Amino acid sequence: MTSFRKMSTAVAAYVVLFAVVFVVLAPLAWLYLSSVKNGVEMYSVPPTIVPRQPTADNYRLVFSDPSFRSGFLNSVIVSFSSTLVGILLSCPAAYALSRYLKRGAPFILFFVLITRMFPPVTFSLPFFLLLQHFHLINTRLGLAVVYLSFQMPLVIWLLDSFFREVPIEIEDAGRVDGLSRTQILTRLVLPLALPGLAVATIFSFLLAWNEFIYALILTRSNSAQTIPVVVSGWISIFQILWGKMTAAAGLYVLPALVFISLVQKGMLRGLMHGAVKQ
Amino acid sequence: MKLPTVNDRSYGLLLAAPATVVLSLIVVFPLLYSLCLSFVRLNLLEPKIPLRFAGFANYLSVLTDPRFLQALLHTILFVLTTMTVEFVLGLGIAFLLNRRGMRGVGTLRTLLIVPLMVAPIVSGLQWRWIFSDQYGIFNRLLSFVHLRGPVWFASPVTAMTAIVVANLWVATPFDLLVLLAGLQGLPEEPIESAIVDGAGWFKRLWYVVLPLLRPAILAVLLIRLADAVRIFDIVYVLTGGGPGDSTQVFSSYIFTVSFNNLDLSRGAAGSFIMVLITAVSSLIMVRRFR
Repeated sequence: MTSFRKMSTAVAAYVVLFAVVFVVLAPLAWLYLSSVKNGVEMYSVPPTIVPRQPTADNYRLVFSDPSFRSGFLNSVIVSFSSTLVGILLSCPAAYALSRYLKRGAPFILFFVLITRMFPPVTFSLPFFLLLQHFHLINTRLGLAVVYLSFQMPLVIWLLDSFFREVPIEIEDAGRVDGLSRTQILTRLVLPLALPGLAVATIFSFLLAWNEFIYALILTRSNSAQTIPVVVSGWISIFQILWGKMTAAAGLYVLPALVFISLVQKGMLRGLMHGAVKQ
Repeated sequence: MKLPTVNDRSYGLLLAAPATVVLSLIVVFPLLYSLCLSFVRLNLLEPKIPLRFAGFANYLSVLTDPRFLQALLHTILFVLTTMTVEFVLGLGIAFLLNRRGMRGVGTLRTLLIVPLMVAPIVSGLQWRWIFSDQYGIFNRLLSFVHLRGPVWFASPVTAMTAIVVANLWVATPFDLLVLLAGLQGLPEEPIESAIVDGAGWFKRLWYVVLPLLRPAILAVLLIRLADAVRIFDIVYVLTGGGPGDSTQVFSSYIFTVSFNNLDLSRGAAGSFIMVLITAVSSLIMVRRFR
């Protein structure tokens, strides 16, 4: 009898979990299903679930839109360059914190916590004035510099924890073998910390890729506007072209979907960034 | 023995120097700049007026602005609702995944956290499409059970509900992930001895599991509070603050004041009030959990 009860509660647990998975994935599925419908079926009442005649027209429409093309280019250039520069600057700093400046680490932790308290909108005011002053408003360079302000604290935080996992004995052995401190870092530590480095890079890239409010405030035209700003600009009070909109949103979200399974483990640490270390 | 420590320390400082300089320029300096801004009079629409010290005038004018108080109310309602619901959902799902003998937990978890890195504006757009009144799939599903769906974006309550739903979709996976990790790290003995003592399911949860889970719960609440208070993207694409101003929140208020009215000093004052409220609530939470 008890085993029967155990069985049935286990089955119930699975049923609930599958239902939850369905609810989580259904909105995205609906987005992609809608994006391959033709103009008539898109607005048919009642709506069809599975498209009767799947078409790539909406995607063609998106790709032929010059504002989306420039937005895509801007998003790629800004996210890639700020991520790369962020890693290059943060990596040595994180290593120094984990190895040579251990006493400074709590201070950095506090710094990260404090900056997280400030919403982007607080930073956006001085950034707006500063970029204007340096003629960097509405430029990819200006936006990439601004993105460093939230990418670097995160990357330093993440890499510090990954570097701490590299056994100190390995570094001591390198020292005995006569390697310089820089050689120890580049030849011994970095290869071992490579998985962590990858997680931090992807995570940092996605933050920049998803960023919206800075881009909205600090860019004005096709020369610097990123995808989210371009796409949100398609919203008007009177009408939204949902075919084009769903296709663009579906394309924009792809990197996040591809990377999520890759960086699951580091993700927990990345998201906890700013949490009080207990 | 030679003394390598002094050398090592300066080597460490050398490695950290570039990042420190950059962070001072793009994080510390802008913050101080913003703070100064909130104490002067600067409106880009009136460039002729000379810059002068304004004391707390900006803060007073924000605090007495009915639109600010409205945004404050909406933000508080939003934060309380979303934080409660996502916490309960996240904890419930974490319990299910953490049951003994569950198979496929890794796969289920991966599927459940898919929305985690999805851009909030995509969530906003997708739910705007789902809730759209004529062609929306949601009202269609309601009609199957003979319910008439509302025109979601026409009234304040349903519009706010849509915002909460869109936010739950992106935020709940975070609660789930942290709480599940917390549950998986719990020691076995206290729970087992509670079972031996004959404590029921609820008593075990309330007196044993939740107190042990305190660090994870505090981390979830602190991070989610800071994130929920600043909500902007979803509101911007989902309701645009409407209908009327009925779904304006903190960030969208500051955005409007700063970049539509170009009253940057009032915007700065508003944003520091917002930070202060977040910081005080966080401190209260930390105190309560100690």
